[in-house]
Amino acid sequence: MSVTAEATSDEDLMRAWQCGDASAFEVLYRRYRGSLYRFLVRQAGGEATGEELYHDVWMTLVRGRDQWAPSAALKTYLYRIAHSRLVDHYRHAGRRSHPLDVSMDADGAPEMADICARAEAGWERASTADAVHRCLATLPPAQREAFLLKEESELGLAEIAAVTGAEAETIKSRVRYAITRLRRCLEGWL
Amino acid sequence: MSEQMPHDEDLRKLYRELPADEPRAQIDDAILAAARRTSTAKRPSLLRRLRWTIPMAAAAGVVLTLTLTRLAPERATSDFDMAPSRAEPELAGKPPAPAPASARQARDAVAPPEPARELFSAPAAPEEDSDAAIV
Repeated sequence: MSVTAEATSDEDLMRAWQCGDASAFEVLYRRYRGSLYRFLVRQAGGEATGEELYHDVWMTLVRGRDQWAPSAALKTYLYRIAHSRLVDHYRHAGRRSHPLDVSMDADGAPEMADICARAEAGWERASTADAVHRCLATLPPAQREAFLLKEESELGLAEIAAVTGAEAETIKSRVRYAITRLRRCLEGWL
Repeated sequence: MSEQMPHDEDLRKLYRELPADEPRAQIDDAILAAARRTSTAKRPSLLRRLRWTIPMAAAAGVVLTLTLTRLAPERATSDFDMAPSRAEPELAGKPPAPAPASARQARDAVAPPEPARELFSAPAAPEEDSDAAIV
C-alpha cells in the first residue's frame, strides 16, 4: 500500500513526509484544508483574518516538520497550533485578555435581548447562511471556538480540551451555552 | 467521549447548510510549495547529525589515555620515593652518606627507579604473585 493512500493514518503520512515524501503532505493537507479554513474564518469573524491565520498555521507545521513526534495525534497537534495562533491574534488585536480565556459567565457576552432585537430588526429577511453567520458572531469567542471545534474538526471532548487547554467539563459548558444561545438566536430558522 | 458532548441535531443540520468555504487556490499553492521545498531538504542523516560527536568523543578518549599514561609512572615514582622517607627515622642519627664515588654511581642515582621500569618492561607476573603483592 502506498503511504499516500487516502486510508493511511495522519501519523503515517506525517512520518512519510518527514522522510521526504512531499505527496504524503499533500494528502494530509487535502484532508484538513476545508475544516481548518472554515474553523479559522468563522472563529476570527472575517475572511481576510481567517485566511492569514490559516496560512500561518500550515506554515508553522511546515517549518516545524521535524518537531512533530509520533506520540502526538496530528489532528490535535494541528488544531492546537490553530488555537495558539488565534490566541496570538486576539493579543495582537489589543485585547486586554485574550477572549478565549473568558469565563463562561454571562459577563462580557452580548445580551440576549440585544440579539433578539437585532433579529427582529431585519435578520428574518436574511438567508439561513447569513443568519447562522450572524448568530455565531454574537457568541463569546470561547463558546464559539468550542462549538466550531465540535462541528468542523469533529474532535472529541478530550481532544478539544487538549487543543484549548481547558478542562473537559469547561468545554461541555461552553458547548452547552453556545447551543442554547444559537437556538434562541436562530429561532425563526430552526 | 464525543457522546458526552452536548449536541443539538437540528442546529447541526442548519450549520451544515452553510456553504463549504475553502481556501483560495493561491493559498493552497503557496503552502504546498513550501512543503515541497521542505521535503527536498531531507533530514540530516544519523552520521551527519553525529558529525561532531564522533570526533569529539575520539579526541576526549585520546586525551584521557595520554593523561593516564603520563600519570602512571609518576604514581609509581612516588610509591618508590615513599620507602626512603619511611626509613628516614632510622638514619636520623647517622652521618650523611658519602657522595657517589664514580660516574656510574651518579648515573644510577638519576636513573628511573627499578619498580617503575618493571611496570612497563617486565612480563606480567603470575596470578598468585599479584595476589601476594596485594596482600
